[in-house]
Amino acid sequence: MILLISVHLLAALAAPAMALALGRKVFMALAIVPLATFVWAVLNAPGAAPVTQTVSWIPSLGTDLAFRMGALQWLLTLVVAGVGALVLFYCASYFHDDDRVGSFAATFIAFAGSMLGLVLADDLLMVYVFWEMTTVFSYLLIGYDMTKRSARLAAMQALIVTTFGGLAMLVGMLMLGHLAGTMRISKILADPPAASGLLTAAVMLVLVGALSKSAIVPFHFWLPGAMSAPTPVSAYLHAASMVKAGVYLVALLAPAFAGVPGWRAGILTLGVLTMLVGGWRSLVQCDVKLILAYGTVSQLGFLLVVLSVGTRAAALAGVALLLAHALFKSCLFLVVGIIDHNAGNRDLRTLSGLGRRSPVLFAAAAIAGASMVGFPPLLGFVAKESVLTALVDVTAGGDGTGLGPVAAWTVLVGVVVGSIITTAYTLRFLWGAFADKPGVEATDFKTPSPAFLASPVVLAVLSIGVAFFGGPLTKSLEGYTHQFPPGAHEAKLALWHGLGLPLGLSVLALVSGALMFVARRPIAHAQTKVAQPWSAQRAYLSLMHGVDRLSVEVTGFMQRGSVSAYLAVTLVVLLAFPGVAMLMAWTPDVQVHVWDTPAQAAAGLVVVLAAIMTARARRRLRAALLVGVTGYGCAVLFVLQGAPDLALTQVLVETASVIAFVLVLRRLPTYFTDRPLSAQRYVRALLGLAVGAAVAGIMIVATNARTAQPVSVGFPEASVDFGGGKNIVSVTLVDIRAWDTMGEISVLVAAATGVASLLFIGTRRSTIRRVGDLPQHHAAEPKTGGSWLSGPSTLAPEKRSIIFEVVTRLVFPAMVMVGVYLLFAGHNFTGGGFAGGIVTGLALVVRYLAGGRYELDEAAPIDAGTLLGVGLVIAAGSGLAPLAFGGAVLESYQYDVHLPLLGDHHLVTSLFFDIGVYLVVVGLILDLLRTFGSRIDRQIISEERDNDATNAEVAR
Amino acid sequence: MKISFDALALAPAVVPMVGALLVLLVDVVLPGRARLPWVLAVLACLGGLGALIVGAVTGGHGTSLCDASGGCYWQADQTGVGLQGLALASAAVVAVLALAEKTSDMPGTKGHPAVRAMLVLAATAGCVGVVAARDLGSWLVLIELATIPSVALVALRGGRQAAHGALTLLVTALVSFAVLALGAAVWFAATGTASMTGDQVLDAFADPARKPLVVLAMMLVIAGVGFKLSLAPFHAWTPEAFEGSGSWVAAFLATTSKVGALGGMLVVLRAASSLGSSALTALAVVAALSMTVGNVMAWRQDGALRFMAWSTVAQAGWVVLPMTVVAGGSVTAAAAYLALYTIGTLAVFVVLAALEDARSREHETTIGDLRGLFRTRPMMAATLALGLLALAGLPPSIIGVVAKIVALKPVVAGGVWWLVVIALLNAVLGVAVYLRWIAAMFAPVATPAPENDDVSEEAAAVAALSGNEPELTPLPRPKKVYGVLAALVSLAVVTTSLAPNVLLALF
Repeated sequence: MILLISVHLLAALAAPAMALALGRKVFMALAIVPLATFVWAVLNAPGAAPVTQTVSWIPSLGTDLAFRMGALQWLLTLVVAGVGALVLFYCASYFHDDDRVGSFAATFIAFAGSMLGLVLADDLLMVYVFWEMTTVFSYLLIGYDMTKRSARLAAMQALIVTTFGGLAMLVGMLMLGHLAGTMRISKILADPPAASGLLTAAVMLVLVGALSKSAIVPFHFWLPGAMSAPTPVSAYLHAASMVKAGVYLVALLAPAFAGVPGWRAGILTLGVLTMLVGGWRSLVQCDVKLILAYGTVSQLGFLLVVLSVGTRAAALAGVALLLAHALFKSCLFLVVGIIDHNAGNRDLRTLSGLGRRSPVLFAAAAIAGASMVGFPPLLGFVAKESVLTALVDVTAGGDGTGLGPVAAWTVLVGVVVGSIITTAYTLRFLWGAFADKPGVEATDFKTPSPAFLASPVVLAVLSIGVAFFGGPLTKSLEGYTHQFPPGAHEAKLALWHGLGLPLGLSVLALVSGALMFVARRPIAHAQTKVAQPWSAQRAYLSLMHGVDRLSVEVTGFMQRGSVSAYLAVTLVVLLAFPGVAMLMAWTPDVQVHVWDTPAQAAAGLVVVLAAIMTARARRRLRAALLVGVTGYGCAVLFVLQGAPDLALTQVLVETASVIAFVLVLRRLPTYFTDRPLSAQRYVRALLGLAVGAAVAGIMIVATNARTAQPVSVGFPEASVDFGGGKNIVSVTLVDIRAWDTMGEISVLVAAATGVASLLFIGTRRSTIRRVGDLPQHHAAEPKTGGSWLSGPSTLAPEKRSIIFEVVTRLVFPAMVMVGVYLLFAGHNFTGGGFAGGIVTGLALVVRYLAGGRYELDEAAPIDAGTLLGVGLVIAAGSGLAPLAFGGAVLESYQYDVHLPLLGDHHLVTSLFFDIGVYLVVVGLILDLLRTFGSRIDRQIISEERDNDATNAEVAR
Repeated sequence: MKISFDALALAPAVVPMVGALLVLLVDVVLPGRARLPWVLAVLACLGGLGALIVGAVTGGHGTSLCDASGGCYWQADQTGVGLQGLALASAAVVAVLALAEKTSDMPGTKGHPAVRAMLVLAATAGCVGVVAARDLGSWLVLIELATIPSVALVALRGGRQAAHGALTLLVTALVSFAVLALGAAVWFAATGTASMTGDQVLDAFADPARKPLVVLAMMLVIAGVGFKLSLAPFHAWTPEAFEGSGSWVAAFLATTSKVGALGGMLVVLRAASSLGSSALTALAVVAALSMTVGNVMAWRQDGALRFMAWSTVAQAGWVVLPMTVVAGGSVTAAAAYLALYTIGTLAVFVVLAALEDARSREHETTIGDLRGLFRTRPMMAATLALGLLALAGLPPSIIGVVAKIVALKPVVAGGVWWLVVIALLNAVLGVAVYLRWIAAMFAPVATPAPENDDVSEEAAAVAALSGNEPELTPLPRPKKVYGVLAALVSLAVVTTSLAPNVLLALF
């Protein structure tokens, strides 16, 4: 079975290439594949044991490639493969040589393969996968003519409706599998899970899928829409295969689940309703194809009613009806396709005289139509007689279904009325398509070729022929029907059931239907009078429209592009989730320890005041400086807590960031903008306060809940033992947690690159330009040995400060020395590579402030990127070096060395790691200075030049 | 204190990091090479992948940096190894895309290939590392390492849009990192250890005094990592950054970066998922919100990158969906869904990059540009369709169907019905959203605006009759590299569709 399905799919892959060589004859070649399947199925007629095949597929989901062909599957395989072969053969005449033939043929055969898989699969998830495959391929087939907007929309509508159902079914299947403990259908059917609310829900969800696929009210509207597909597609998908998927599923599950509460009530109600609604709508159609489409909806309702009843007789009748319907409905669709193709018209008001022009076509249609209305001696009659017999049995005592007489009679009456309508629209169809109509010009109709006619004729002949094999058919279907308990009468298919109520009802349906056809004008008149208050189609459209509107409006709301709006959303969520969680964690015994010394309170007060003033500041510069104050305040708190190293680092970082702020703020307006307006500002302030309160609350709760001993208690000892140093912070950075530091400086490098490029989309590799490189400089003011700094000479005289230059000259070497000292001393005393780096960087800042960008390049004639890169490499290298000596990565060694001038030294190898950190930090500050300082300087100067030029022009 | 060290287990993260340094060094020695850095980047990613495979084949236990007590700061279990492989493989694809890009179009000096390659490798190392990090400090730093370089990547693209995207990304990244740091602090306070391996979480959970604190920490972590995963309501950066950054950077943000984020989240949630708590409810709300917002927003997007951004938001909801319930397989389910998402998304981005390249980046690819693609470039169209179908969860990309099933199964088994219903509706909505783009590829090139459709249908018919089919805009052939990549991703989709176990068994 896997082989057969695979051959279908492989044929689909080969089809486009074959179409290039064969043109439309590719259909004939492809028809061999379903034909072979048909032959295989005939040879494997159901015996004692079903044909099975299992290959392991997804063990974790409990899903295998499990296939099983019982009696029901056998019949459907015959239908799917047989009708598939005939329709493919027909396609060769229907289509013209066209570059789309290849892809159409490929999709068609792929669909046939999926349908086969769906029928044969014995695993719930496999069924779902094939189910969705048929959906997708049918989308492509319906939307074959994508140039037509109507086709695209119809394809989409069919897809959305059936996928919705499919997904509901999937959930139902997952639940079912969960309850049964297996995904294997045959096992679930053999040993169904005990009745429970969950089981009912699962079965109902599966039914939603089945109903949507089989176009049952309220999902029925997609099927008539899908008639924009080429007619062979309708003949195959909408008569024989896809719409039968839902029917098949109901038939398959009925033996085990017909007793589930809601099964009969739901399906019988919707089925009868569908049968009536479909037939009623069919009566008013003018397009002969649409008559068939609504007729199909009606018949699908009929099929579901019969198959869901759950008695042996009804099951047998239902399966027979399924076969009969497949045969006559595909035949009729193929007939319509020939009419459409050769007359170029499907409107029954303008079609005339076709019966005389092509009697063979008419005969085929008439036979199929007769089968549809249940006229003896056709298969349709045999099936309908059995159906009526079975239903009459149910009315007399339920026949084991538990249905009350009222319900049973309602169903029976509904079915009979539906049959009457069926007769009426069938006659109307035959009349509309073939009759000579007075006053209508005879349609120009090209007589179809024998090859074109072959498929419908074969189907019509089968409709007659199979009717005479009721006995053998009953026998072969026993594998399915015997899953149900035996009923009041022995279930059998036969042309003659004897005189009785069923036969009377059949006759009634035929006669009343004929009368209804005769009275078609008054009926049509009445129908148009009745306004249609509600339709599922309209509901679907307004739903889709609603999503569309929603999308537009939500897009306008969400996609504002305003960073502060995004930020506000995030903060609100923070309040909503963690904020609430914090309140829940807040127990009465949470204690707040106010302060150790009043000095802490003072520092805290300063920080708080500075924060408030920052928020109120109107000048950018003031805000930046006040933010700095909060940072220095934190540093004071660190000192009071006894963490000088942390405080030092904090002060240095704060200083560096304030300088960065100031450098950038030169380019921004002095004052903040007036937006947002004050009302909104208050909202923002409130939000800020709330977030602050939430974070503070989290801190308090967290520190109160602390029960474990802090990890840092062990650090003083570890730092000496493990890192060989007394400065805990420093040893932690370069040794205990060196991995993290490594990551951190990599982040730093990346961040520097990012920030700089965020602001300047120019070159990163800026050229270093020293004072001596300036040509005009040489000419204007020859360098004199006596000047304090050479850079300031490039500045305008009013921007220079001699005192500052002098101080800089004196301070710079000292600062650099301090920086280097901190680097080396860091392991045992306050300091470290990070602090040292910042101090050295600050020295560069001073040089820049005193002498401008050329002075900076004089002080550090090196590319910042190089420093960053070298630092990173040294850090990484020092980490990896111990590997070469058999140690672990980042392991540190200690040596005591005596240096001639500097005395005894306790050298720790992690110093090299620290040097890397030092270089990265210096490089970072240099980078900041170059981008925020020099680059902005240059921008200012060029803008000033531009302004001058404009002013001069204006003056002229 | 002696820490044992297994180089092979660390190699998947260390190799890209060394690669990043190597790229910088090579750039110093041989400056101005446009392609060399990317070649190195591809090799570094593949090298990391190779180390991973060697480790798996030789039966390495994936742990390293273990102390005497047996606790390891680096643990990559099977799911972890799978995620690491995913991150490295997707980074390799992204690097190839970057290699193929026309550098001459870049603003600035040839697009800083060395810097960008370094950034990609550094972020990749972070993503790989965070999956295995079992130490709070390292975990935080590695998440940062995985995030900050991507800001720079977006910014380096150049232009106003890129700057705006990078700024949005940066601001969100900083806020979320602050939240994450806070969460880490609370975690530490609750459990009393910086290690994320042991049973301390369970102990803390058993203690009624500390339980709310663990919940609090988890919420903070979900919020912090949620940003990286583009979970609503932390998603706002996604469309801005995607649109500003161009195809391959967006691909990186959408795939490798997400793998790292999920890996980071799993480290924390793995400890929690056996407990069940209101943190999981918060996650469920976030998942439902992401799906819905993502799908509704994607519905009307016409720009390909913005569309993919919203698609990412919606898919992120699916990724965390299985983790919202207490079930054994939920972690692997999330990882498996992420793998499907990565493959599908890469397929889409490969094609988008190819189109962008072929058009020499005249403008961002829109849905209109895809018209008729099935006729002009069937290979590209098929790849794109496979990718979109995988994301939509429709055959023939069966792997997409299977992944959706895998993700839904724990939720159904757990009986969280409201979430199932929302997921269901979103799956349908998603089908409509993705099919709009597939349908566009089938649509004729000269399809006019929908209002006057009927008129122009006639016009098209007339044109067809007179033999003047509307001309297809001749799309220049994309470079061969794109063809090869497209074939590779398609192959991945097809193989995993035929045998989903190939993918599922990885996690």
